[in-house]
Amino acid sequence: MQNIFSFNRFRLLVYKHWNEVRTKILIFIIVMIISALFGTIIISFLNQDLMFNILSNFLVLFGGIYTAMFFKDWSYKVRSASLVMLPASTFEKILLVLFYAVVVFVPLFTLIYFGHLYGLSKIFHKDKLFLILDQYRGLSPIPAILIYAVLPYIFFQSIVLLFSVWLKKNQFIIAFVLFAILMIGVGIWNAYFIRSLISVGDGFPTVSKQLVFFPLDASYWDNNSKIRTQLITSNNLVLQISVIVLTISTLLFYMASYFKLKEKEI
Amino acid sequence: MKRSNIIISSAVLLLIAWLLISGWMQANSYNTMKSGRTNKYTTTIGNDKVKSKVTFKNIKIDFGKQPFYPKTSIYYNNNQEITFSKSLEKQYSYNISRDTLYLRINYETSGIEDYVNIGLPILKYLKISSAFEGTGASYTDINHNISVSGFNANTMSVIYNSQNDLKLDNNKLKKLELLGDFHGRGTVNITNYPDYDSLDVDVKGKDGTLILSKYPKAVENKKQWISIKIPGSFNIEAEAGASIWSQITVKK
Repeated sequence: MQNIFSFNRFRLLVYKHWNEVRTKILIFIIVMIISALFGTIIISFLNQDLMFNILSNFLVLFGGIYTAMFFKDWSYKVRSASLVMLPASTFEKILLVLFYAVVVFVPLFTLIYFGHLYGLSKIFHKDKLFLILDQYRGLSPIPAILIYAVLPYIFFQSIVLLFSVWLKKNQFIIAFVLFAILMIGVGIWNAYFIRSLISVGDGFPTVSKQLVFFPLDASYWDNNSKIRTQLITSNNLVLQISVIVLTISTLLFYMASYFKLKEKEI
Repeated sequence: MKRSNIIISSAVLLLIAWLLISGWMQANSYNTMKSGRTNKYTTTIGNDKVKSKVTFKNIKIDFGKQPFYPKTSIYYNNNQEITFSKSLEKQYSYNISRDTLYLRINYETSGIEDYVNIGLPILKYLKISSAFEGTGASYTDINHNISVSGFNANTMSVIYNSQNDLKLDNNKLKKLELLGDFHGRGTVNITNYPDYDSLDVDVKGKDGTLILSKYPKAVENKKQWISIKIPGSFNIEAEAGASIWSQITVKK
């Protein structure tokens, strides 16, 4: 393709994809509704941490599967040729994935998820405060959702996209396994590393709540089991730079996906 | 090297570098806050400490109708202090009138790490109430109890109208009076009971439990006077063969 981006061509590409997968997308939405319903019906109304964890996990799972679907044809020689021959630029193909997997999927799923939570909390816990309407970790709801759910999701989604373009088979499984190892590894590393740096006297600290994406909280439970005390510190500078670093990394992974696709097409 | 691989390597290096630097920054800011200094970018979010100059010797806690409760520790301390875990925000209220602390907890979020700590030098009277009537109120997590510990005093009176778990631990008293209605499966655990010269228990409750333990010392107190009056359906746990069994009266 001569032009990197043509709005008209991109619009046609979006329509083409919609016509091809609309039945699948509708099934997907039903699955999302059922999952949101069952995943949250009992436990998550009253705990903000849990709400955000479930939201970001569902986003990662469904969004990752959905992203991997775009390039599943790489596995088949004939279909991969039709993908390469598609009359759209490489940039438009990547943009198509971002359009459906981020611009459409994230608001849609977030609305479904919180819509269900809100509805269910009104039915089962009429007298209780729906916590998502309140602030979360010092942030109002929309910035909190963006930082603690959407940003982790697009970071993961950029890795899935890269692997989808890069690898020929089992792209999602490999990306998911790598991501799981990354999450567990970062958690263990954070606990070990921060524990080795903080001074807590004679007691043995339990470093907890270092989120996988944002090593935000270092906390120490007093070793005296009779009386529980805790000091959690939140470093705003760490949070701010983490947001920047994750955004840059995500953009870099998107760029790498673009170049990988371009290399494949050549 | 292909352009795509250079970009991937840059992104991975950036993430690893930030992981190390952010860990160091976090630990550094934690150490700063722990030593009492302030840091421009760091805030403490774990504790909500209440400083009250009004002294109190009596405590009345009402857990309301909620089935769960945060770990509540009432302990001997030279200085009076009340501390709430930060996530309990908006779920408690208190006031101190004369020499009594009135604390109301409406615990809705049931976070597993929540706590209330009350340190004070003298505790004369403690009343704990909860209005929850149902099953599923007790925690299997041993950390979710209410404890009263470390007091060395003449008398202490405890009125316990609750289905929760109360532990009277490591106290040395001339007289302990324990009254109340252990509704639901309310439990009171008295450790080192030989350290109470006088132990006067008169409680109600169908499925309540009273645990009496000599632990950590196994020495009898020969001066000890004990009167335990309980309903017939009540559960008692104590060391097998201990003389305390003969001092238990089942109420009709």
